[in-house]
Amino acid sequence: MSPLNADMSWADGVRPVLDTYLRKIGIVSADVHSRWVGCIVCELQSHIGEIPADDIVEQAVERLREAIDVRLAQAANLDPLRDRREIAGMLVVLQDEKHADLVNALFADCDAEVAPMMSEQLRRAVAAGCPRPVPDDALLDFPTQLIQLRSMNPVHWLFRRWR
Amino acid sequence: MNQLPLHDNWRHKMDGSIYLIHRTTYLLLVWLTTLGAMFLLQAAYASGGLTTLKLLLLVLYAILILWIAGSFWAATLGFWVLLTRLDYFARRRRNVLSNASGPLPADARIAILMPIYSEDPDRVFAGARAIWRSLEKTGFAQTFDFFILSDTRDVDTWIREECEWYRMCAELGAHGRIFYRNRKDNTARKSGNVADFVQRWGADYRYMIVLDADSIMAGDTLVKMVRLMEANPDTALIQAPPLPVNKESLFARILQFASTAYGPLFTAGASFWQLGDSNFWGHNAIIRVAPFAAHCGLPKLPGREPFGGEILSHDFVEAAMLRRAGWRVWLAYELSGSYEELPPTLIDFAKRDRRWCQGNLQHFRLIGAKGWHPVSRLHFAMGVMSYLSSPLWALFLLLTSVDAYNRLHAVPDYFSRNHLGPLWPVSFTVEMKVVLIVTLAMLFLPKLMSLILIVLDSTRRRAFGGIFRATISALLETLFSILVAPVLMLFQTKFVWAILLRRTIGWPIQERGDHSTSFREAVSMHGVQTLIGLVAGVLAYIYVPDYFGWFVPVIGGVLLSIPLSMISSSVHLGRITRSLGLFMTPEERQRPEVLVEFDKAMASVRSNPIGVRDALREPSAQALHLTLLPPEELLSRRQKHYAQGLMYKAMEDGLHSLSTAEARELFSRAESLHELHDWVWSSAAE
Repeated sequence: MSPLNADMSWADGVRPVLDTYLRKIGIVSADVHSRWVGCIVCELQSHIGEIPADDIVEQAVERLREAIDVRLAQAANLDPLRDRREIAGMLVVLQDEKHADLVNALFADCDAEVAPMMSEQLRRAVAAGCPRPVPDDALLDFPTQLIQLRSMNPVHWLFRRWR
Repeated sequence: MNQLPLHDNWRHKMDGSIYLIHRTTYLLLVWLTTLGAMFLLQAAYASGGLTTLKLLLLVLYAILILWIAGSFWAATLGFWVLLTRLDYFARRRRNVLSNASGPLPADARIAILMPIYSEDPDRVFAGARAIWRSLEKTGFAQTFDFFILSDTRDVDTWIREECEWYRMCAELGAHGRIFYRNRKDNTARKSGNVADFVQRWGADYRYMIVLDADSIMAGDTLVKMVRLMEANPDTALIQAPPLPVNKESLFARILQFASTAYGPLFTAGASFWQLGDSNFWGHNAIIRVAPFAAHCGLPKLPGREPFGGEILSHDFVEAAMLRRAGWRVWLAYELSGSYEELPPTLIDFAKRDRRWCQGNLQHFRLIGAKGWHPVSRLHFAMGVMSYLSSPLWALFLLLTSVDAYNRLHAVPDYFSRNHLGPLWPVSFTVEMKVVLIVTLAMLFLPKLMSLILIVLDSTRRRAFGGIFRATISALLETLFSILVAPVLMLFQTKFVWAILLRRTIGWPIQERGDHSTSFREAVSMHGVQTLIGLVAGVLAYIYVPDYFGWFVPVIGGVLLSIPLSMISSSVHLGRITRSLGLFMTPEERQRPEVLVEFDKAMASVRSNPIGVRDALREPSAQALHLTLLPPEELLSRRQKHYAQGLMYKAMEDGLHSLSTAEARELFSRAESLHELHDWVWSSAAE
């Protein structure tokens, strides 16, 4: 462990990045920020000896991103690994300004259970605004047709006539 | 094809008679005109013996006059139809529409397809918004779905398309109604893009309305097209002729005026003789999905490009395939509310021609293929001729110059050995003048006929700026087209030549936005043409001075090609002519509702669009991109390493170091994107 890690000063480098990240997600409360950042720092602390100094911020962002995914998965009763697309879709929906309150309520805590009412609110928001790029498949056979070309070579024509 | 629904006997016979009358009339007029002109020319040329040169000139003229006569008589018949409104089929269509009321059949779901390929996303989505809003106003939007079918390769544009699509869905409340798909491989270009739609989702739709990236169609027109299809179960495709709109450069405004003023004559005329064997123009058309799927799967042509391989101008072939299967294809020339955009400059116009030229020349191989309807063969031949006519005109002019030289330097032989008296040279000036006048009349009369139609219709007259301004516009347009024609002739001759030498062009991205042509660009595109014009002018002046005057319009246009190209690309001049009321079109004078919607959508374009860097940094932009990615297939170890390699390359050398294909590969992998996302955030902190 480097002296830098030992004195926890690495966390000072991580905090502003995670703050900005949370703001980007739409979380405005400073209290909520400090709670989430605290969670991530705490989690990192237990592994800090295994992380190269250069990678700490990257690791912190990764853990925060994953924690957000887990939170959303909990709220929607999804699997954070298997249903990544759906979770990404939820994140898209929550970026809409009209869901600002929901975002802040949903992420108010990083480890408490999500209230059923909030899950229901999220479900409704997702149903109304989740990106649905394509409809379900409705397959139709589209066979390649035959075009029987005739030779444009006059010699071929003559030969065919003669034959 | 399945059994066509039975029309009653009378109607069937009536239709048959009209087909016979219309086609016989048209073909007779075309052939008689050609034969008449040939008779006069042959009389002039045969005097003094028919040399190889004269014979060649006669053959060339025969082909060219046939081409001109075909166009002229189509316009004239179109004039007659528009003047008298005596068109049985158009009237039948009007009756269908005037009697139609109530909802569209619930089971007749319609997909509007907008295939795009690296177009400006702002423009594409403004068009889509305008169409959707216009459709909502009809009250029938619930029957339609909208598909933006992207073949875009460039990642930055891809990301922008995704964000614009989502923004549009959110704003219009159209989630689950407006879809977006970016194809992994853009095999077979636009036709492959549409084919992919048909294969994946075709079974859900009875009709598809195929648009282009720059198409705009009024909701009312879309509904009318569906009603027409419902009323004509033997019809597989109805084409609505698009009018060019929206451009502001002088070049585009002149072309917009010409297409809007003269176009209706030609489309009505084409419909007069093509009837239910019309053609597909590639967009702004409604297609019955089931027969399209059953009969329009395009094969690759044997041999290599440009004549073999993928069929480039797929529209003609698809129409021919539908006809081959017994389905009708109509051109509903009376449908309004169908728009497209033109290339803004002469050079862009030529570039578009280059693509079309290759596609149309490829059809040369298809003319003789088995099973086509004769009119489909004619469509193919006309497509080929629309480009082949240019080198033929160039050759004709060249040989005419040689003939003129021979005539000037021939010494008359008054006293042949076999004759007692002198042999006076016979003058064929009258015949030659008649041929010339007839040819010129056939080229310019359609413009006059169009003006007459405008003058006779008070609404259209006002819309074109009144008689005086419309006439001045037509005169200026004629002058412009005279100057531009030889330039386009040289361009097309070069294109045909390049294609014959088997030089392919791939699938270049089109420049659709208004922009001026720089001197450098003009010189690079027209420099050789100017030189050709200079040499031809000097040679003509020295060797055939008596005929020099006749060559001036051709040589003049070519000599002026650089300034002509630059000046005509000017948006400023386009606006000035507009303020003077010149080259006005009805769509400019009073914007139709759908175009007003389009203007509004363009006005609300973001000043700071989302791009590829946002997709890496912004959690929401990345989340959207990840949501839209198709499910990832399992990667082999080599593919995983390749993706990782690309990621590290992007990290170390920047995104710009990746080729388009590499960037695309990287942005198709969720894992790599996550890693890059985290890395971008951490490196920003440093």
